[in-house]
Amino acid sequence: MAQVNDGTMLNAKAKAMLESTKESKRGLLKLFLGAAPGVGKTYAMLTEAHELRKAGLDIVVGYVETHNRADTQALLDGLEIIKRKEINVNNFTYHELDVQEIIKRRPVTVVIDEMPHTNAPGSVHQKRWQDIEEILNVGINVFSALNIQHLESLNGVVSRVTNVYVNETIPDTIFDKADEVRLVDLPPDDLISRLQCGKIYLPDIVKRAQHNYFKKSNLIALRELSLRAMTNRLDQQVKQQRQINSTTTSTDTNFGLLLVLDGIVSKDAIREASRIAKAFSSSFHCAYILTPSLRNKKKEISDILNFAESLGAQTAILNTEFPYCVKDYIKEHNLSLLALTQYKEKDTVKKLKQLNEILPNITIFTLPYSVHLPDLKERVINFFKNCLKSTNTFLATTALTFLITLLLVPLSHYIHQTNLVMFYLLLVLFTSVKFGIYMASYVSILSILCFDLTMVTPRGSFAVHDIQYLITFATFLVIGIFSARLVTHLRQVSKQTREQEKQTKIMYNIAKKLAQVIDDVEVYNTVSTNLSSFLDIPNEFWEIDEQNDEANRVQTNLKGVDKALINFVMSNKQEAGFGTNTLNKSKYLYAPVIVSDKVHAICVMDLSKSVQYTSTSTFQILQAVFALTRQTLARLESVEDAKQTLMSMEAERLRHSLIQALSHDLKTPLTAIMTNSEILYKHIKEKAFETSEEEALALVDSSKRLVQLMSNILDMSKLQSNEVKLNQDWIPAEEIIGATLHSLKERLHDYNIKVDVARDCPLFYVDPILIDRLLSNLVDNAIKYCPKGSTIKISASKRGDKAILSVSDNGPGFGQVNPQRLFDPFKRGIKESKVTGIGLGLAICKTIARAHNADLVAMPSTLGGASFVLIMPIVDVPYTEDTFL
Amino acid sequence: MSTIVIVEDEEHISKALKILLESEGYTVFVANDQKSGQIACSSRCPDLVLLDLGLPDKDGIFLIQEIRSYSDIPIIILSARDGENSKINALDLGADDYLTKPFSTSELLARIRAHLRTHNKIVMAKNTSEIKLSDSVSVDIPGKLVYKNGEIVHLTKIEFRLLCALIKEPNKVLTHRYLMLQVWGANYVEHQHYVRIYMAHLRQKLEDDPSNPEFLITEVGIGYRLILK
Repeated sequence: MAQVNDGTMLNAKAKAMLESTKESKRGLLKLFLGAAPGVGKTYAMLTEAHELRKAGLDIVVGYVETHNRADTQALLDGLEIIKRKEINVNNFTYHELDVQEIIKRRPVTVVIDEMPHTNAPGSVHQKRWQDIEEILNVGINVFSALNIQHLESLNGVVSRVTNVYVNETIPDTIFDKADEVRLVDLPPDDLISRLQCGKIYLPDIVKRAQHNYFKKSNLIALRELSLRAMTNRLDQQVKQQRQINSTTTSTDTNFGLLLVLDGIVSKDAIREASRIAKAFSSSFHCAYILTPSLRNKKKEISDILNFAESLGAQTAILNTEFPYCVKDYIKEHNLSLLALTQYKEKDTVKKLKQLNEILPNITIFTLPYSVHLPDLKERVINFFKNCLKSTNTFLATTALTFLITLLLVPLSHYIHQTNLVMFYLLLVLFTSVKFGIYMASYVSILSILCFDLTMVTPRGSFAVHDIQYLITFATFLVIGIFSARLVTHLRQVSKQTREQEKQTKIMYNIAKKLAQVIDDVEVYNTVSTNLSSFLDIPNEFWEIDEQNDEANRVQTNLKGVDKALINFVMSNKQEAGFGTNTLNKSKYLYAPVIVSDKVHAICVMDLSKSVQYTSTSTFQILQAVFALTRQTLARLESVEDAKQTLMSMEAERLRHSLIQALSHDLKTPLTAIMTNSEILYKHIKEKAFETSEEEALALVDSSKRLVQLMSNILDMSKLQSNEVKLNQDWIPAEEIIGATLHSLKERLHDYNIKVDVARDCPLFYVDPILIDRLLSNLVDNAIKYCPKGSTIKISASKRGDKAILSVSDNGPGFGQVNPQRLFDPFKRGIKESKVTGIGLGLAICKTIARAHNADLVAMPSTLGGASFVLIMPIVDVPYTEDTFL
Repeated sequence: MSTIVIVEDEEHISKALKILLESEGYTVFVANDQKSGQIACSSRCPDLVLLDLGLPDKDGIFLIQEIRSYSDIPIIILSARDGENSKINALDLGADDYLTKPFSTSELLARIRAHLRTHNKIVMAKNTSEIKLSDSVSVDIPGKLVYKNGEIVHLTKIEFRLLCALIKEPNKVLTHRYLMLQVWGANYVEHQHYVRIYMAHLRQKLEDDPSNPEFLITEVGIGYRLILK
């Protein structure tokens, strides 16, 4: 084994690992890469696990296969091992990694051997690397191991070199994304000697292995491949680091590679392109040009594109005309390398020329992997298959040709033969419009035969007297087939246009409706109805409740939706079910709707019914619809954000004015308290007691003012925080007024108080404490703003179905101020007056009134001053029984 | 002169109160938590207790229960502004009166005087048949008669029962709940507006100015108090 980390480093590393898991949600993946089995990956992994354990890290073993190697077996001692899950399929018991148990156990790090392993049929994921992804997603670090031949992009090379084909692979993206890769290196000779000692396989396999896989030449090649993979990785890291560090953002747009495909190619071509892209450390794109012949190969195309994606490619299907579609794509993604596959030599040369003309600055090269094209035999078979498939049309066209021939035969003496040919041409055109190119070709050949047989001398035989007829036949055939081609092409174009129009219409419809929605549920409902009506996809949405982390059904259109899958999609933020890598045996496709890295909802779609799954256009529409949905959700979210911002701005403004008002109003009594207490202190020191009375009184007065100020502020904050619960009861007007007058007794001495409670005055259904606060504030206001000796009148009465409580005075009134504005917080009639208070009193009154469903208005009083009137609904009192003494 | 125990954990306040009360001629003992308050109340034989509800070791409520188990001396609660419920609770458990911080010293002294006076009066004259509520109003409890300016006032049965409940414990703050229990019984405790309506009737019939009452005083959100001069 090449490297052993020293202990102190490890300790620091363990801490760093712990730290980083705390910060980021996703766990870290460390891969142990080997050139071949037996180099000691498992051994290295377990050794490191032991050392981390010693450093105090919580590390467990999720799955380790020791292959009965003694030294590895010994290393398992002292490590906690999670029990494997047993799965019974067809009387055979599989022992698999127990993902749920690991997630439940939640260690910091888990060791999982043999990353490329394929799981037992019926497991949640097909592959173990998908299990590992899930574990990483919940924030657990993973140690895992693989050999170089398991890398998807190297798979072809390895099988060519070693003649051994490896089935189990992992996508390159996993390798590229791994946070750390440790190469476990062993020189080939050592490896072979280890093999011979029986340390890798049991003796009977050793011999076989030695002649196949473990040939020295193989091992050298494999070792070189793994070293190169490591070098590439390091190279990329260096570049990334440089990019992070450099201030100028140098994007690698100059090195993008586009692989253009127009036929069904072998996967090796894609592997090769991916490797080239990687060697340039550039981005990798793979695009299909959808030629007519590929239209019925959608399954294969989507397979190839999926494969390309697993190698880290960005994929697309180009619908427009070659070579302009390529040009547009390259411009759009700012690429500089273009790869083509070998089609036919002539064809490729033509294409190269075309591309060179419109893309002079792009490097174009061809990959030596030939496209699989149907040969002649296959084409003929295809033709007949097509004919047979449509036996009815075949018979119909044949019959039609004979019918026309029968009609034309009697006319052939009167009409010139050139014109007779025209009738046949018409038939050919009709057939091509109606039934397509194959039928049209067939009809044109049949027509020539019929024409020759019945109308060309000698009649009744295929022989031709006049050699010129051969020219007619040839021209007819050419015109027939050529026009059929044209028509078919036109038809295809118009069909495409129709399809696009349909797409546009659907998108337009959805976009129009989504523009008007105001909440998330409405978005889901709109999308759901449109998907089912236009695309014929039964579906339903599940909304995610963020607080409880729970999914709730928005609609109920489907039966047997799997809750476990919903939860899986929710936590892994990737689609699952039908047509995906995860649990693809499920009936439905579960797609998350992700906005700003949060799953907002999950769309469950039934694609099995509609044959449309393979139709790329449907898939494109689906993608567009989901993009639109995401956009709309993001818009709604930003509207909500904007509202919040506005509200917080308003709050900020309020707070600002509060601070301003407070600083003025607190300063006045505080200054008074400070100066007076200082004077008092001085007087006491000088024993001048008889002169201190005034200061002492001022102290008391200022303190009282402060107390009132504080209680107002507290009231307001309490009322506004919605903490207040009304404790309503029926209270007589006299009691309300009496309590207020009692509490303000001392201050009311100098005023002329009048109380007028009407005989029919109803009981007020109010919260006694709050109504006391309201009335006290109103009376207090009157005292504050009216000169001594003024009249303050409190009256209670009934007006219609409302109870009225009012406070009026004959003071100065409102002057120029709009009385209704007085209810705003921090608004005062006169700014900077010597009257204390921060303008909260009336705002409090208004809030209390509103809480009681009542109205508080300010108006000029009949007495000449101001008047505040509380108008509130009457609530009937339950009857009480009583008799006289 | 009377002895007063102050149970209050805030040193500034207890010190100021001690100085204030001593200047008025009372003998004052200060306790700053529930435990020492308990000891002071049982050993000093006070005539009145000033009690802060928010004590560091245990709620003052427990001290009320403790004192009420052996004595009916007046207890005045000193409490923070927002504790309506804790006030009601304390009053229901036997406290006589409450003052909300910050309170004025003159108010405090007036309350102390009133409570000490009525406490002694009740002890002295339990059997007086006629009780004067104000200059113009007097009540003959055994004879079930109420006079205003020498004339008989007609009260309903419930009104009279309510008045009696108030007279039985003059100057003490009686909660709505307590009055409901005394006058209507346990089934009516939830209908507290009854008390308010009958109090309004009593004021109409007995007070000179019902909206500025002389002796039937409202304690907002808590209950009522009958002030005896």
